Amino acid sequence: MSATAAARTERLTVRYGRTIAVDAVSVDVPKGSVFALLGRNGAGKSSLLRCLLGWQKATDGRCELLGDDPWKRRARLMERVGVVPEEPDAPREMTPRQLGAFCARLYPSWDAKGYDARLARFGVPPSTAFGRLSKGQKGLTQLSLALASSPDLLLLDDPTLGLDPVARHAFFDEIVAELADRGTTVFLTTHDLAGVERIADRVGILKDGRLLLHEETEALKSRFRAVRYRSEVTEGRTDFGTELDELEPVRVKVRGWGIEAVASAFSDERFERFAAKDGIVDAEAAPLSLEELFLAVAGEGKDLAR
Amino acid sequence: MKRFAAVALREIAERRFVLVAAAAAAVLPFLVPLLPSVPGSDAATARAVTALVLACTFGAGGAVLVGASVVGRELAEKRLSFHFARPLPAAVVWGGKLGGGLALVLLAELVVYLPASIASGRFPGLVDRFDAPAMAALLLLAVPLFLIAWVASVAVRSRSPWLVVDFVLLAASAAAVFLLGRRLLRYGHVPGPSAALAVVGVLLAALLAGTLAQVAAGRTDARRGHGAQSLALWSVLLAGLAVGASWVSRTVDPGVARLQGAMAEPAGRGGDWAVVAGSTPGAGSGTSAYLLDLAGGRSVLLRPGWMTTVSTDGSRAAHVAAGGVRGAKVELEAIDLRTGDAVVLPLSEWPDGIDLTPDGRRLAVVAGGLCQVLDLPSFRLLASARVPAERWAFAPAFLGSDVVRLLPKHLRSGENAARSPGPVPDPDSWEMRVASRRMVKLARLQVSALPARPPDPKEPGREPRYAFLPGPDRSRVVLFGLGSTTGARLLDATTGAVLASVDAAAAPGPRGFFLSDGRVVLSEPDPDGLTLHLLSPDGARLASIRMPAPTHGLRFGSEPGRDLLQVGLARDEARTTWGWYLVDLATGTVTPIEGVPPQRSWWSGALSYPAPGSPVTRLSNDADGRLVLRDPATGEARPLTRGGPPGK
Repeated sequence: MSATAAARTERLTVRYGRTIAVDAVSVDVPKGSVFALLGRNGAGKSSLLRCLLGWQKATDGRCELLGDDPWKRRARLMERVGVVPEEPDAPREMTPRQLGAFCARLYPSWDAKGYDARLARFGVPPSTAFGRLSKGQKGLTQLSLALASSPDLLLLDDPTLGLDPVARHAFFDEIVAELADRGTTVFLTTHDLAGVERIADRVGILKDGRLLLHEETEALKSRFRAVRYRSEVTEGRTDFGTELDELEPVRVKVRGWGIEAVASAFSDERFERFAAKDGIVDAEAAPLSLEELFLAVAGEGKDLAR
Repeated sequence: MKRFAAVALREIAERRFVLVAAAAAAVLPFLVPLLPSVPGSDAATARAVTALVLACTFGAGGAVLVGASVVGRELAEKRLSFHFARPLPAAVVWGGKLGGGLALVLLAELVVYLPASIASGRFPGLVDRFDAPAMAALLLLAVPLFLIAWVASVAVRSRSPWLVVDFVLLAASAAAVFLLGRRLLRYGHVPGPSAALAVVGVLLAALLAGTLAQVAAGRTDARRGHGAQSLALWSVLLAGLAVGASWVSRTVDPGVARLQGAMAEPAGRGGDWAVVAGSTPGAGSGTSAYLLDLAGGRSVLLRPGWMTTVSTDGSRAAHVAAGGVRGAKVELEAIDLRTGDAVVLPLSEWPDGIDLTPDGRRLAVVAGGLCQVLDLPSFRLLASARVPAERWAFAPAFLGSDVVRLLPKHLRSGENAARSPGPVPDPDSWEMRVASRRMVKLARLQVSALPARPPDPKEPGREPRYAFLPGPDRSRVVLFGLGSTTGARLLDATTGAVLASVDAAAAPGPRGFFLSDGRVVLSEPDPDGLTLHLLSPDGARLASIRMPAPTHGLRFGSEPGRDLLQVGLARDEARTTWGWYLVDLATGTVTPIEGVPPQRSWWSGALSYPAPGSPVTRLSNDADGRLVLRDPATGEARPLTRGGPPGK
């Protein structure tokens, strides 16, 4: 067990019949970090999260949450974990105020004032039945519930799915504030790459149940670059098609103006050596957004874990 | 407890519309008497019946509605995760949902029920036939319904392969329960309240275990939850079914050695077989009966019935059993004693008598005034003829494989002065010739010659009744009077001639009994006691033996040896206490014996006279109530059954 890991999986595998949803995934989320697990629909993100929450038993492998087995110690662990599910799951007939009252009886450190303040800040009517709230209001209510228990760990399963930009912004702002105030560990799965880019300090990319990549965001962004260049035929040149090998491209596209690639092993030295090669003209490298990086990686599916 | 209450209250709050609907429904019983078609005198009844129907409807409907939604719907809508994202142990989630759901349903029932009950002045009951315990049982039916709805909704909504397992096991369990129940009823064991409670208990335990496993092991995973539910549910149910099957097996067929309060009766002329019937502890009020081979130790389980006879060679038995569920039909069983196989022939009514040929190949049965001879084991009809004496019951007896002698036994059931006024007609003795299928009249047996007893002020209107006891070879019968007639006659069955007679007005009236060698014992009661007269087969008096007083009743047992006869004498007028004696007919000595030997019943439709000293003549119940078999050489008693009173 890792004393510094808030969440950890070790060769975690989830099968549904013959379908492998999560395939021997090992992840470490250090305490105080924000880990974003990215992946397309059906990549296995929610299955992995459900195992971490102790809602579902893994087929194989193991997982830990705050140093404990979530399947065996779920009830106790949930005192320290805030959860925002993919689909709002609060009882539809209960109002946000009633939900707060209900949860207040279950958590030892329930922050009722903070809960009410957040609802007010989000503009969620406290006396309207949960089922009648807008999707954004539901998401924000669930986030308020998750944060009001003063959790050590927040587990968010695609929490901004279907939210409008304002609600999404408010959602992430609240998480940022929580991070600033309490240093809560966050484990989230999301498709909202722009939103998560500003808060995630670690990123994992899951594809078809396999973890393709898992590292710190900055390190990731520093080793991934968009590389553009023109390739000319010169006498004696023999490395056509392999000139990018040292940069370990995950995607190469031939455009009318030249070649565009995404390098996964970028460094200044390597790029200089590449740019100085015979026949390489107008080579330039540009940083990638998390979304571009995700598209390149999730589209190719190579195992890029470092 | 705080968390449990939080979950339970949330369930109630979520479905508070059920209570609102119940409150609205509670008004309806008070409006029904206002309908023009309801007379004012019936207002209270109309109100109570309406409330009863509504309370039951709310109980059943609410249980199904709430039970199906309490977990199944949340699981299908992926909202059960709300509870599992909280610090709530699975048992608390389960218990809270169960407690809240059930409390809501029962509360709704009470909301409907109580106002009408109180207003009708019948609190805590409601309608006359539905007093408080009956109403409570009716209202509590909502509990199993609630759990069944919970289990079914999870199973259906999960759409997992376990659904197939559920259906297969449900069908198999239903079939097993049906077969077990049918076996119980076929063998005359009606399950008592404790058995019914045990079944309900197992069902509730299985449903509770299933729902708990579904929540605890499945959590938010519907398929896994369904699997856990099915495993737990069927484990408990199948274990219960196995225990139930074992109980049914032990109840129906406990084995001769486990019987309590057992009674025995000779079966057939051979002397080796006896019918032994008794009860077993924990088996309710039913009894189990066996055909027991006292020489070989084999036993064959019998269905509840009457008249059992075994062929002289011991190859086959015939038994009249109560067939169908609750004995609604009558069936004739022919049992192959070598293999235990039985073939069954349905009968239209209880037969008056049956008999087997010595080789067990033919069966004669008299039922509904018809005598039939059947081939065994095919039950092929060889001959059938009506016995021309509708008011009398007849017992058949093979004189050879082709001749059946039919001697009257008694007036048929229901034949009395009210139905057939006038004097009782004298019956005839008959013979049926199987080959020619003819019925031949032998003689008229005059019952009208028996004297009438002086009118007894204690028993006014007592009718004349008669009984015939056939001899071992059916050549003679003993006729004796019952009811308002008295006296006994030894008659020649082929001529109707009176060979001997005893007339005595003192109670219990003269009786008679045949010895296996054809000699006859006639009793002659007098105000001071009773004398037994030993007669030769042709009616000549051989000896007279005075029996010790008091003698308020007389019973005959077996012949444990040559010239030895067991005789029982009632010691009180109520005939509750009997003393048994061994009468040495050669010397005239009378010796008290311990225990109670099997008594011989003149009304048996398959009366037989086993040879003196044969195993059945050595049976008796000892002082502890055990059926014992005495060794003729040592006199030692070997217990065949348990002692004690009939088990419950």
